[in-house]
Amino acid sequence: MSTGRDARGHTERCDLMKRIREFIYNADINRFRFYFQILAFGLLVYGGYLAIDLGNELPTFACPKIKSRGGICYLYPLQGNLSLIDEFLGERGIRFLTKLVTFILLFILFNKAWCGFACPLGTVQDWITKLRSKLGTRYSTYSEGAFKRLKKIKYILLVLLILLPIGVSNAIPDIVRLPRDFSTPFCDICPGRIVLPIFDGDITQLVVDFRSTTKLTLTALGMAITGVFFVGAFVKKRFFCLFCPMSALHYIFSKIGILRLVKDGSKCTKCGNCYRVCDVGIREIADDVVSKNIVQDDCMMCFKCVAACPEEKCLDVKFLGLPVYRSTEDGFFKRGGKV
Amino acid sequence: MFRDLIKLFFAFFVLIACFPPPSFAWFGEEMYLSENPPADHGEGHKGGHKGGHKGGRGDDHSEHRAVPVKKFYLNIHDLSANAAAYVVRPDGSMAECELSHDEGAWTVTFDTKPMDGSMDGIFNVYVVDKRVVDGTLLIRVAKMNAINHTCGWGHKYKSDKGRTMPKHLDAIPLEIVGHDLWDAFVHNRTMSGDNLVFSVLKNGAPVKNASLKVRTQTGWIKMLKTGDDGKASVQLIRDYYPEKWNDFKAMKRGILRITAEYEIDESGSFEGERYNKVRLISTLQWGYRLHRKEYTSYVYGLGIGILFAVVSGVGVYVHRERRKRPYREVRFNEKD
Repeated sequence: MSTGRDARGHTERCDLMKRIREFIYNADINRFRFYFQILAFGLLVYGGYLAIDLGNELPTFACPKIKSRGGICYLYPLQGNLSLIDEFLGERGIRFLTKLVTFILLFILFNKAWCGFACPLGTVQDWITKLRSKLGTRYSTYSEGAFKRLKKIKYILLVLLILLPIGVSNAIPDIVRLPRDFSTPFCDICPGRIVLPIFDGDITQLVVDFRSTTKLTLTALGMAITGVFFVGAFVKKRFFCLFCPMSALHYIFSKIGILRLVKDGSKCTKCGNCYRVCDVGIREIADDVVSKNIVQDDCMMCFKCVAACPEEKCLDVKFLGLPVYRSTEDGFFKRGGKV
Repeated sequence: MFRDLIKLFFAFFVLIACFPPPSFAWFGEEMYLSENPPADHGEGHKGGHKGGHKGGRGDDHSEHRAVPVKKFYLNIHDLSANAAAYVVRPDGSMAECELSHDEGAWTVTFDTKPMDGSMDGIFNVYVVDKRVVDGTLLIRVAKMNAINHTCGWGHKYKSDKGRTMPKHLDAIPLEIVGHDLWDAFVHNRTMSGDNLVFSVLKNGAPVKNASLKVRTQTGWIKMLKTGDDGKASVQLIRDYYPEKWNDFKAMKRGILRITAEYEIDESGSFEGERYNKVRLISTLQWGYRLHRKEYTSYVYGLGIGILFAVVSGVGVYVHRERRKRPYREVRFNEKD
């Protein structure tokens, strides 16, 4: 008798789990992402007002120039620490390693979803995209050749943001010491530094700094990039993400991330839906039917591709090997087959 | 003629002795603390101190890089035997600190340990010296606010106003308290052109009508009187304009010295000497930077931003127009 009740209970639990899974798989990830982005934006830009401090090692843009910030982007302390690399034999070196390990641990937790769900600058770009969509202006895409050429820029920026601060400390003998104003070169040209503080009512970053030739050049370049950023983000989805050195830094550790985007190539029909919805324009998501881990260096793990895939279990989002979101035929049709 | 000249000089010296210029009346009695030995006082603005040779890193050194032990120098050599030094830590605890004569000057040394961020904040350092001079009890106080902070510790106290607000010590006979000299992140926020507010406290209570002198390294002096609430405000002068752009140092740190004086008609004896007046002189030394407006431009910033936005916008429009293919009508003859 009790065995029969246990079996019924087990069946009910299985049914409940199945319904929960169906609910999640059939959910509209884009709507969830929209609200999650607002939450993350509030936390990172206004978190300071609620005494929230998520630390200085965040794997996403959270600009230290925002007075009400809830955390700081890791690129800022990374550059600052590298500009003092001559003092690494001691407490500063330990602090650098601690920060790096914290950054890696935070990163592997959510992998590149930091870009798709948390990055405030990415969120601003998504809002600009929504504005363009409302205005009925068509968006641009890169040709495959241009895409391949442009995606290299983020690696060049990453190398420069590491080498220039090292040049400030002149740790390598017989190399000319760079001016101290090169200690955070990427921050000076980052549009996030200029755009994000505006949301806190601070417009003091909309300037050219005349204190030195270096600062003048970098801040003028920053303003020029910001000008291009607004137009670029208007005509091209996630325009800046293709050049983002944080994205390049992410990709170094992406393979050890516990949140993964997995593809079962045998189920892919190469319909191209995933490529068409990809904001960045990653072609491999549709073409590659061999790799299991499909995360590319430009991927921001927004999971639009999973939502747009009509094939059952073709694309899987896995956290610690367990599926948390999956492409399903039902889900595709329930979302209205939107591509 | 020669006698007249001698008389004139004599009269002049008598006048000077009797009526000294007001701003320097108590200049010689000031006792203040500094980050540099007395021989270097007034040189701090020429590129910083420790590490100043490293392209200006020195100025940031003291503010954003915590050190386990801090040392400040007194400007005077004739310190009384009763002189004592105190420190109030950011957590509110107080301790007496070491006062010694080395490197040719009196120094105050105190530790800022533990270096784990628990002492993140502002240390108040005091030296109090008392003596009787010509029947007047002269009490001199030198105060320094020392920043003990590194951004690597984070800014966990940024919302704790009790921690970041300026503190005072009731035991100090005359104390100057600077308001809003630093922000919640424990970064020095004082800039040239700022409106600064100072309170003068006598054993913790506001002092009305105390004389206050604000002085910068360039020699600018402003004389003030405290109001009923013991407060006085002053707008700091902007006075750094090098002739050549290349000589401009945006991170130049100026030194600001505030001196308060207050006299009380009070009789008594101190260390066996009688006095019938008490003269209290207190100083506070603080650093300030140039205002960002001195070396930044919104016009150029927005100009460049708008120019690039317009150029790239026009570029995209032209590119799209060129790629437009002319409409071609294709007619099919259904009969074929």
